[in-house]
Amino acid sequence: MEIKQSFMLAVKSLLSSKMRAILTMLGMIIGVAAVIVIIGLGNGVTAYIEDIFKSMGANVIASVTLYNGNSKKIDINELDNMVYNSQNIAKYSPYVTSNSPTSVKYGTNSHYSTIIGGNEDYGTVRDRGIEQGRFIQYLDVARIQRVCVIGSYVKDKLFEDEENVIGQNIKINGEVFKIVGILESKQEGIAGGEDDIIIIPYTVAQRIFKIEEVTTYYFLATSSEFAGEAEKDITQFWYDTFKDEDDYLIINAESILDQLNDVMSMLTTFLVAIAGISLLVGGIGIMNIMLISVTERTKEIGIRKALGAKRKDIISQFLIESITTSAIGGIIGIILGIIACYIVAGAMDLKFVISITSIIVAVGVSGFIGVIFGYLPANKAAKLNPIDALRYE
Amino acid sequence: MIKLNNIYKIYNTGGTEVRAVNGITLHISKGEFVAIVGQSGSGKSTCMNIIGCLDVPTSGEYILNGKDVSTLSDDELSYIRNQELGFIFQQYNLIQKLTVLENVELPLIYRNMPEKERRELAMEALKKVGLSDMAKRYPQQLSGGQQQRVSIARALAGNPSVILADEPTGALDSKTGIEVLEFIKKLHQDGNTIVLITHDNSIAEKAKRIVRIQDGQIIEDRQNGGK
Repeated sequence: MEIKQSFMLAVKSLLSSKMRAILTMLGMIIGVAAVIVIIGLGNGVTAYIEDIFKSMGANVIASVTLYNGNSKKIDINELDNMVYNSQNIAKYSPYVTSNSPTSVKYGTNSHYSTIIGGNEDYGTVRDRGIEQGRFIQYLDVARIQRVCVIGSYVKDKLFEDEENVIGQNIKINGEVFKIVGILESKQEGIAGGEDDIIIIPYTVAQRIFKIEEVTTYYFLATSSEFAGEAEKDITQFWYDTFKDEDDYLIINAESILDQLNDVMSMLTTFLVAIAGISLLVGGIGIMNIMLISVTERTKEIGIRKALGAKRKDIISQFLIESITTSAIGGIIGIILGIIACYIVAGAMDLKFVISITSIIVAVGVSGFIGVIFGYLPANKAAKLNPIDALRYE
Repeated sequence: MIKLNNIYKIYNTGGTEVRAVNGITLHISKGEFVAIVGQSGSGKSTCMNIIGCLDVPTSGEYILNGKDVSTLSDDELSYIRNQELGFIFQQYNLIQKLTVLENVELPLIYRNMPEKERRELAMEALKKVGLSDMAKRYPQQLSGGQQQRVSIARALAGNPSVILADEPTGALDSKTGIEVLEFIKKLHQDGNTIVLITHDNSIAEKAKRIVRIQDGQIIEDRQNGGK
């Protein structure tokens, strides 16, 4: 039997009863669309999480002291020594911040922004470059100078179109600060984002926010290979200070990202498995209709067998028909899935990634289902006795 | 050409034995025009199924073109039907979803003949029955007589050794029926071997040889002028 003719016949019979064709393919369409959406959005969410962690800075390790009623403190000179002696840690910076957006004023313009206190290496550790002016310097930190570096979003809010911002004074939390630099933009332009920050010396931040002890430090490993070793050095230092693992938390961006990715891929696999059930049900739907179709076309099968069709000819005719049905269902499912991705991603403000793999998997699975669930009806047709089939009305 | 030797076909339905064909021996030579006549239930349909390789006998020997076909499998019988036999059915048995041309091509498709060659042979067969201008139409757009001529073209297309016609005029009015019969006679004159199955004596009279079947046995086998 000619494949081309079988295929044309399958398309013809699908077109001749559109309602039935759609109902036959519905399970298939929903299943494939679900797989595309889940994989697409799953990849999108994973990419989003990765972005967040990447923005933390490459090879960055954070250390947070919890002070569970512990009276011991980190000695900044000892920490300096440790970093200086470590082969694995390049730089570090304390990190002090107000817990809520802080009032910032320039003349009559006012804005609420995130204030971050760091040292002269904060920019290097967190991968923030300078667009204009300079970063905070060692002397600013040591002498507790009220100077600040502002993000591009803050500059736009306070100064609008004004050009000469460096050297101007602004008020942060009611105290006067001199602007010494503007941060390179991360091109986000959203409130509360990476560009809506002001960096000041951490010693100053401790004073204006009345924070006695720095609880958070960021470390930069000499390279990503040494991130693990750097984490060990830091852990050792914190353990030596507090003698209790429950008093601190060492966070390695790399390892957290790995864990999150594991969780995400588990979740995606789980959801895809659920969508797979829909594909299975879709396959059973196709099988049902094919079985009905075999009964309806008993006479045709009888004629074909009388004229010399062998079992394999009949099987291939019905298989091609079920594969065509499920493949068309699969293609419609892919198109609907991509449309659904656009809608959901738009509504949830997410990115999505349509991977070629997910499309190949969806097409492969729908073709496979066509074969598996088409075989039973096809075999039933092929086994019909030509005399009985011819007599069937 | 056709040698049926002591053929039996026995069905067992609920403990009772039904002998549909009860010891038939019949030889048909190349180029003959034979009518098998009998009332319904006489066993002529079973006989025709066996001759048509649609069914196998319970016992006995069937030699078609020098080949024993009485013990072949399903697929082997399909092959024999495809190569050796052309069928003309009472209900035409055309596939409604296929065009006239595609219907005529069907036996050739199962021979795996290349498309071009197949198309030519099918068009030639349609020309013989005078329907070459209907090739692109669908069966239901044609009259009963035309449909039967399409099925004759389909039987001819594969150039079979035997053409089996099972009540070919049964579904046609008498005038069209006569036309179709004249056509079958013409096929015989062209040298085809024809086996015609009917319950109607007047139709059987068209054949050159009449075989009468009753209760699964041959009760008469005579030569006939063929009007």
